[in-house]
Amino acid sequence: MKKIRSLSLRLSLNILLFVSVLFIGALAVMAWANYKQIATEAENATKSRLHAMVKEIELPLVEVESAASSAGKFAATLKKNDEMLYRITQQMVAQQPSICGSAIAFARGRHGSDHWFAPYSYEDADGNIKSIQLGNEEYDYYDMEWFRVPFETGKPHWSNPYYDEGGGNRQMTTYSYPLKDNDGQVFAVVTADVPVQWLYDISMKMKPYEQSFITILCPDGSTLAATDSLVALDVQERMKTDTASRNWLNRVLRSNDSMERIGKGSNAMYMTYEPMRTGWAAVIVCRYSDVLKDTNRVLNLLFFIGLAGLLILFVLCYLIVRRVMRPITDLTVAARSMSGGNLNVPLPEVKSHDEVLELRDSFAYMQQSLTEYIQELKTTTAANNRMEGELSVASDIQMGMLSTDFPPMLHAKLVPAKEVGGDLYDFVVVNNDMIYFAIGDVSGKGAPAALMMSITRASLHFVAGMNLTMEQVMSLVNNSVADANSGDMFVTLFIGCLNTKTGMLEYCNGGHNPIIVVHPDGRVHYLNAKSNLALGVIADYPYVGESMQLERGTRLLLYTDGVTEAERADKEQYGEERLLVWAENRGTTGTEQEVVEALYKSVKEYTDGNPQNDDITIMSLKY
Amino acid sequence: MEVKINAEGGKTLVELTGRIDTTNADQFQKDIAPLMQGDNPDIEMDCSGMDYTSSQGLRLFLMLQKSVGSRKGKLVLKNMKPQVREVFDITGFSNIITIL
Repeated sequence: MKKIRSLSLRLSLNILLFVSVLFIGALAVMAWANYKQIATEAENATKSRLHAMVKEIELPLVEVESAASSAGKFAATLKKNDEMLYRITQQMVAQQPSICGSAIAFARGRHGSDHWFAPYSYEDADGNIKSIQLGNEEYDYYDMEWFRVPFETGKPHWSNPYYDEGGGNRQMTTYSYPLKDNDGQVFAVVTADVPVQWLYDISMKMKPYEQSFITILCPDGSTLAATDSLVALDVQERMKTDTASRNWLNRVLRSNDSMERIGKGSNAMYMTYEPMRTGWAAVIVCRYSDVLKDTNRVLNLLFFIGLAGLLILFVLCYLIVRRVMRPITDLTVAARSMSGGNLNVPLPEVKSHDEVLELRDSFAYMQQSLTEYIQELKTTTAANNRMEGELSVASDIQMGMLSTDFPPMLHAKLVPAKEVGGDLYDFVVVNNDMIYFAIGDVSGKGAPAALMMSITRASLHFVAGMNLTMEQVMSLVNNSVADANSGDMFVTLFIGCLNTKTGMLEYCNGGHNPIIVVHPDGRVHYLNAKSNLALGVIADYPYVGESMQLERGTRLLLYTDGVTEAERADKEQYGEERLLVWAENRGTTGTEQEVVEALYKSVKEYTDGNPQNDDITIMSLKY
Repeated sequence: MEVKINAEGGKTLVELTGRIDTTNADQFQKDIAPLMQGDNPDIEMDCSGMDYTSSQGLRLFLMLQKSVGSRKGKLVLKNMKPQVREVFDITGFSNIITIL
């Protein structure tokens, strides 16, 4: 069985579909229009974050720088006081938590002796501050970056990270501040060591996104700080070995702040970098989707609100439509109940004044009409049944009246078109040597015709034995019929009387079809008879009878127009011509019963199932 | 079966076409009902288009003839096809209805 989907559901779904298309369309247009702008803003926000982060890292570095420069300026005034120089370096380490070591390293020959002199204080593993003289054969600082670069350039310098073996003995970066004499010559360098670990610690606190990577790149490709040391090592390796990466690094170090997008789709990465005052560059790499997370969150929120809205809309639609449809659903149930025969089923109440009310009223009207109609039908059917019963009885009586105890020389057959026919035939054998016979047709059909037929047949039967001429018989019957003829009916009737000894045939034709005479020698023709007026039309009509001498073996074939006017589906009639040919072919052979049945069969074969619309009567008589 | 009735200068001209049989005899009776009333009718029926009449049709012609006769009028049937004329002859109706 095909599943029925409720109209309410379908209607709601359609509305939902329509609204969804509108909503999603609007959302798409909005997203498309704003996405680029929102994305740019998100990128800028990330850049601002990096900038803030750089400032945050730079702040303690600036403190380191200023501490070193003030210490240097102070040291420059003390030249030969070694004791104070040591005190200054100790002070640097003690006062700045980010500084793990500090030296005042003199250039060659600028502190009395020809060789190295560099008072150095540092924090050991236990947190105690110790002081040593740094320069010797083993630790030739003249060639070290932290001394060489500021000495040569005369400018302060942040070194690349390095492991200070023989000095601080840890991974560090050093800020060097050159001290110059009055000639502008650098005579010493004040240093402040900052442990790389300290920068790592700072950068670790600054994750702008969960999945981001932050690092600080130095000119030599080393990483100073990173949120992921394994990645940092990898980056460092590439910067130091790969020329393209090296070129990229140089570009980044020289540029102003900038950004790049790497990759596509959901794996796209977003990189923003910014050079620092120290000559390094801070880099943040994060997933582009993280950058757009806020944007996406807004879109997602919008989407879910929309979805929830659609769901609520659907539920509301469904409820409202179902409420409106309720009477229709109830009507459907009522209709089904009615179709099952229960015409008194109560119809649902409809309070609204709309089409549904009209439908309900039409329904009520239909219910009432149906009830009345069925009642009427019951009455009519009962009446019809009664009438049919009566007709059937009449038909039985009618057929019962027809004589069927045929003598060998005569046979007849009557097939009515309706229950009660208008055709008739009759025969009476008188004194063993006379046989009266008649065939007739009452105009019209049904009960009135049958009544006429009965009257005709009864009066015919009555006068048959009275030894009257055919003219007299015809006149008597005509008067009886004319008396009884209330309507404008008439009867065509052929009557004959054959002397079975002499072969003398007397006959009279009252408007009936001419009968066929089949001679023993094979000649066949219609009986030459004067056509008198049909019976029942005019009382006392002067009928004229005739007579004819038959040879032994002659056959008379009588019929009603039910035979000649039997029609095929194309309205073509059996016709007198065909009947004559049939009679010629048949000749005088066979019994009379065989002849009657054969002719009837011929007619039936001709009409080929087309309904019979007139009574068919056939009579055959042989002398 | 088609019946066309026209009044023309005191005469009633009727044109009959087609067949009169069991299926339409009732209709024919209704169609010629207007001819059953009025004084001194003078009816002329053109039967040239008429192909066949059953005995029910004959009955109605008889009815019309009686009706016209009782009103002292005239009924004439014209241009009848031979096979139709034959039916009128066999039944003897040509003796009481004027057929030209």
